[in-house]
Amino acid sequence: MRRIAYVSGLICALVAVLPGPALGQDRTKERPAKTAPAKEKLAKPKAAKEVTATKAKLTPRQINFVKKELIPASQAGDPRALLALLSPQVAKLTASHQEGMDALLAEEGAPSIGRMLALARLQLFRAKAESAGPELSLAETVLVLAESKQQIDELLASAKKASYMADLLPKPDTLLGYRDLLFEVHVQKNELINARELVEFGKTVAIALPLSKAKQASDEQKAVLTTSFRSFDEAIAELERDMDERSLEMRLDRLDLALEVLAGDVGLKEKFFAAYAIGIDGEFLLAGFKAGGIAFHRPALKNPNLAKELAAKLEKGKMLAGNLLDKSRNLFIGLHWWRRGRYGRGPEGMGLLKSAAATKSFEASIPLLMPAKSPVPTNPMQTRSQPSPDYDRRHHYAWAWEDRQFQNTLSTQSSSQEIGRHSTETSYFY
Amino acid sequence: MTGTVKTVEDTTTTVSANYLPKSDPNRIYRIVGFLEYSMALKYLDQLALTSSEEEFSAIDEIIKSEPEFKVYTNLSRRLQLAPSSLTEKPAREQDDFSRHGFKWVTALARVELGGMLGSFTTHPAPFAAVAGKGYDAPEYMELLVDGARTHYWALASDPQFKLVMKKFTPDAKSLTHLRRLNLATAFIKAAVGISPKQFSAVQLAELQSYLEPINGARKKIRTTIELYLASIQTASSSKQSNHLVEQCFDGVCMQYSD
Repeated sequence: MRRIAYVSGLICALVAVLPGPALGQDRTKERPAKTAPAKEKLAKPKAAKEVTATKAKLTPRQINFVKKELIPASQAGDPRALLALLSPQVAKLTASHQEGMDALLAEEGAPSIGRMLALARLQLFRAKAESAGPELSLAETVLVLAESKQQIDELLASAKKASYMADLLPKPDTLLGYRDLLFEVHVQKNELINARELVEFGKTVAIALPLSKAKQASDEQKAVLTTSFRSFDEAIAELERDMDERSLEMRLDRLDLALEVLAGDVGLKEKFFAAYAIGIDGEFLLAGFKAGGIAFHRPALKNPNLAKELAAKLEKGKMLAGNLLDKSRNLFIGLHWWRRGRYGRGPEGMGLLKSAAATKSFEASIPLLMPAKSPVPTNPMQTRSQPSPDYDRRHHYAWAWEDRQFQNTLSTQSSSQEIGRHSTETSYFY
Repeated sequence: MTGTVKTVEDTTTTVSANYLPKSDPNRIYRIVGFLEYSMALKYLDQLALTSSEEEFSAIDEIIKSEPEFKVYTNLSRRLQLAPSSLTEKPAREQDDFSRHGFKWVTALARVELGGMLGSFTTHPAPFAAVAGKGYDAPEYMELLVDGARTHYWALASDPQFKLVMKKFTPDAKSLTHLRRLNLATAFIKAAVGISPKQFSAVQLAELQSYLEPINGARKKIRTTIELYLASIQTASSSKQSNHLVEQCFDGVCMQYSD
């Protein structure tokens, strides 16, 4: 109830009756997909250990501001409104007051000031509406840049820690094992897309601060202002290349396993997985070898006969799979889309809506936040703080989108009518 | 200097009018699930058409091995206010109403899609449009009737809705509740219309009885909107007035045939 009331455009009527999902409450468990925003990461509250007694430094007025104005504005999700409220305050805050506010925000389970600002500015950046926010102050710029850098560091560290990034590439015994690994690659590659977006965002923010303001920076602030976001480009590109190559190598291994399964005496269930692997890996591998050419770094991909061997294996796989090739494709692609419909979150309307651009562009209708791990649905009859999926039925909630409004026009029409001609005399010439 | 000049009389007319802008026919593409469930059914229906029984068993086995494809039914029971002939019976002892399998997956996609069409388009038969070839008809009907019950009971117990009905306010909330009533109507009509033979006379009568208050509420809001649009204009031509009513019928005030 509280959550839905924060979202402009969605009324809370049905939610009073049907228990609503906990969107925005525990989203840190999930990772964004495709071009999905790094919102979760930015919205993640600071660790509880940072909650200290520093809030004692705040005046009652400041405490009131945080609880009654800032937190509701942050939860409402309107970046312009949040920036209009917070940016002027940040420019005037002392370090100890900011620290106190962050501690109070953490106590309330809300993101820090830096995270709020960075997320709001990032939202405007995504919408190419940077100018809609107030002018950046020195203090805000420093906070936003520091937050962005921290997020990029975390995203890159997480990508490097993935199991398939170990020296020895994992080699599962089952096709399902490969599926899970390749899904992990997919998720991490999306995280890199988010990191790349943050890099571009950081570059834009860094140059937006007028020189006159930058000159007033302390040494500590100067260190943040001179963060080299460009240097992340190379690191991200290198990680992406490595992930792509590892993914190709795992698909080659999966192809061998799929051929074994298709040729063996196993049940239809396993053969469905194997046929799908032949179809999907065939497409990926052929495209990968075409794109990579001979410039691969990993030894397993440098075999000059690999492309030829691959074509022969695919041919054999297709023959063994027969019409299961199309059927498995229909099954797994169909389930993929269903999963997106069931568990996907849009960027607006508590996850029920896509951006307005989706009405005009197919590409814009694709990005959704997706769970990184296979979700287990919860029983809707048992009240939970975080139900899964978010919406037991979308039709219970989507009607509440307030997308139409009566409008009032006040039009003024003027008409002129010639009512006669007269002789007139003037004393001077115009 | 002497000359002839023209004299002009200026008239200024101020026209104040309230109107209801046309709804964007593409807005349905913003609803998460519309594209996704449509695509899912495109592939899964094709699969169902071409698969043998043995293959179907394997497909079901795959789906049942993944918890994420489990679907809970009989959600309306949390809102039910009074005994009902339509109450879903448990399939077994300790039934938690979780259902798992290919047909439940496709049936859910159909109900969600139908709900979106019913809410955000003027499609005259949104649930029939997505019914498919019928291989999952029993599952689809179960979810459809559950939806009809849910929307009816939710409306019956919602204080916000009662407030909307008590005093009309020309705002987005009224329009949204009208959409909600349209959706509830579409659910109930689809439940009765797609497979009437599956219901007993008592059940059919109960479903029909749902429609009476919903139709009454829809009619009341619609009439109030029309009156509001007509009364607020301080100056307008009769042609403009008709245009406003046409816009009202464009979706938000849509009429259902009996």
